[in-house]
Amino acid sequence: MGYFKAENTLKMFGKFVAVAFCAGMLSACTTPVPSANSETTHDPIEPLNRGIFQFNYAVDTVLLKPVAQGYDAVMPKRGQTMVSNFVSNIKEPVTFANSVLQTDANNSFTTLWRFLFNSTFGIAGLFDVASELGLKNRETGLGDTFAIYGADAGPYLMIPVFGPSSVRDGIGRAGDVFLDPISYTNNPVFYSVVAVKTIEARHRNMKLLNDIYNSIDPYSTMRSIYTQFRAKAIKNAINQRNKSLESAKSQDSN
Amino acid sequence: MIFLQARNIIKRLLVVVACLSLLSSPSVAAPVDDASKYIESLGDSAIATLTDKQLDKETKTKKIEQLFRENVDTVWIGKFVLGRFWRQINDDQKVRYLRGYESFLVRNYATRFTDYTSGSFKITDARAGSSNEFIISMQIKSEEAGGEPIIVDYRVRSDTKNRKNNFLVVDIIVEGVSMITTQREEFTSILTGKDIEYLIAQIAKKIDSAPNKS
Repeated sequence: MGYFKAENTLKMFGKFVAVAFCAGMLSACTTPVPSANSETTHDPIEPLNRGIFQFNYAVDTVLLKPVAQGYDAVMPKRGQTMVSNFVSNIKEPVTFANSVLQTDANNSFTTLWRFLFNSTFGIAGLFDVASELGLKNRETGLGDTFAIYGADAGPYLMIPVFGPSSVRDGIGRAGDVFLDPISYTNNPVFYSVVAVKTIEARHRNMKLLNDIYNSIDPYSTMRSIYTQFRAKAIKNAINQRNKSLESAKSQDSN
Repeated sequence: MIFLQARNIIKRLLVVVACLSLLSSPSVAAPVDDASKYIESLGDSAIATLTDKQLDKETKTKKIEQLFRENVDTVWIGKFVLGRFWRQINDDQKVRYLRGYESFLVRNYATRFTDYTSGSFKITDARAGSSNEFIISMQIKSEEAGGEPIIVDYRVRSDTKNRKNNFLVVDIIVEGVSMITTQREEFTSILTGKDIEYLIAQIAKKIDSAPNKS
């Protein structure tokens, strides 16, 4: 009994690391917290973070980048779009759960319809038919949800394999794993999805990561870009959620 | 009586002073519409160069670099990104740093655009920023960028000194990521542990290794 418990715990941990791996690469380029006036981001454990950055860079050099380059060479553009659509679709349940937690009715319903349309008419998400119908994707996660309810980013964190983050967003990503139905599927499905997500994210961010790694100090460049991008994403999430609340209010009053 | 006369004189003086101060102040340095038109024409020039099928990549790069040099305030940016360290270096270092930095900036940023061979853009917003600055937002669509539109904000400043246009770009913000903020964080981080000579040497190294040297 104890053995099974331990096995389940290990499996969950493995899933967390795997999802974190993928999400981290994605967020390396897409997700952050700078102030326009401050010269640097709050990074009290910079020496440790730099060491982890070097480790992640090595993993990227020997594994992720070559695989993403191979994917680019082998997969035609149309196929790449289909893979991107599939990855977006598979993230919709997490976006839906967070939109509900944010009391963002607009995005909750948009995401629900997107997922239903794209999973069926869009053949398991390979085609983004929902966007054609005007239902635009707006991805969100627990990091955004915490920020909407007032949580600060906290210190900058470079997580092994996971990539750049902050204390708030790191906890958010871990929580998102538990909101993701894929985490509860069997191992082959789960790890296949993780592999596809990782390759797609690395491929999509090829140019940006090349620019970062070609800068004089890649570590601080990545930190700055991550932080600024995250600040912008949080601002957008708050604005969109306020719009949703206002429209719900005006519908109530009518 | 004398008191009333004195009060009237003071009132008139105040009116004159107020009028004079209004006349002498720069008022609205340049209207937002002009700044928007300036960015639009800059975008047109860039697109015309990038989509010109008769130009080879090297010629395109040179033209884009020239456009960048003429329209971006590289000296101001060079000082800004050094932050507090600008005041701590000597005149000789300032000259050498700025000379290298201009080439570094042009190579690093201008050459990125030359990968794009198709695209279109539209101005989505134009607003006044602080003092004589304006923020012009542009939505760019390009096949090379994956088809999804990219939002780019140009921070421009009116500049009438010996320029054929009245504006200069002081920052390019792509999807919320500011070119000058990123560079300032990077340089501050480097100069916290190393000196300016190290940075100047690294900049020179990057210029040498950059593609499309001109």
